[in-house]
Amino acid sequence: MVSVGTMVWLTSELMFFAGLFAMFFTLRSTQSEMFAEGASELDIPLATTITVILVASSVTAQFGVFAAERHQPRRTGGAFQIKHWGMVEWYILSFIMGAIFIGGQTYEFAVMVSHGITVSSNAFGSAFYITTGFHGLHVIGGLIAFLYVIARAYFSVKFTHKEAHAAVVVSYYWHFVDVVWIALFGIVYLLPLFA
Amino acid sequence: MKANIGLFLGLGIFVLIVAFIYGFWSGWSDLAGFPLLLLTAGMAFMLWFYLRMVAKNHDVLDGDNPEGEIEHMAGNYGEFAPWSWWPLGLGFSAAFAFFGLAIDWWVFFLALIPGLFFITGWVLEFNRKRYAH
Repeated sequence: MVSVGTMVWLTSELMFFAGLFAMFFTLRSTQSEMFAEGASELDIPLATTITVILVASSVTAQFGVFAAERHQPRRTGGAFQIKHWGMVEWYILSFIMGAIFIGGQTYEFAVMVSHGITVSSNAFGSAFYITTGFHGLHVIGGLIAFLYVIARAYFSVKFTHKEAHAAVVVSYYWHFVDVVWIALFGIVYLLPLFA
Repeated sequence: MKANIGLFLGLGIFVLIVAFIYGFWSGWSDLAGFPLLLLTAGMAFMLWFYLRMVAKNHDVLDGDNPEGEIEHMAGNYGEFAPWSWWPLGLGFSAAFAFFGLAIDWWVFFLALIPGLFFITGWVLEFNRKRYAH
């Protein structure tokens, strides 16, 4: 039941981002020179690094799901015996990687604002901050969700299917946000290199 | 389940075709409509993929059984708290937050405090006190 609801909600989220993509493409087609100029300000090496980290965090979250599915909340071995990690360890690692992503994005925003590109400066600024910013808010929401899943695992002495289920649906959301970022990264950062 | 899977697959294919017809007809100049139609097809394919996954992991569902009766669908659909106050508080916090957006940012940030309180209470409702397990 929870997973069906999550999936239906995620499809509505897809339409939300569809609106943002449509806005981005429309502004880009009317203001192509401004977008080319704005794109030259983007920090592509940094964005590539945080993209790789975010994609990797999806993989670690999936390992957390595998641990949750075998009802293993915590590690059974030492802290660095990755094979014996439970859901909590994998989710904490995913949380840290997601937090690094947010840190990198915040740094890039700060640098761009210092270069005079703000959300109200021109159409490129609006499109850039609104698309990537809304995605960043979704990542922050996912980070909070990770914390709740971890908190639930710590609160419960017995790890039941309910805790496992929560972990699984949070991973659905995390993968979705990850896929949306790959699309955004392609459109915002890579497209100007080829067009 | 089979009907649902077919429904979303058909919808996805239809919208995908319509997207390209629309794109061609508008001379690829409308960059709002074409991507939106493409992602609407994506939405349908997403549900198709998910339902197919569910159908694969389960045996024949009662909805697909031609001999099935309504009562076969009875049973446990999930765990819902019949008396929980947390969602109501969360709803009020959300209303407060939207009110804040209309007034000023500080009101919005103020609304995050009860929001965080109620959502935490809701999430951990069945992990605390007499429901601790």
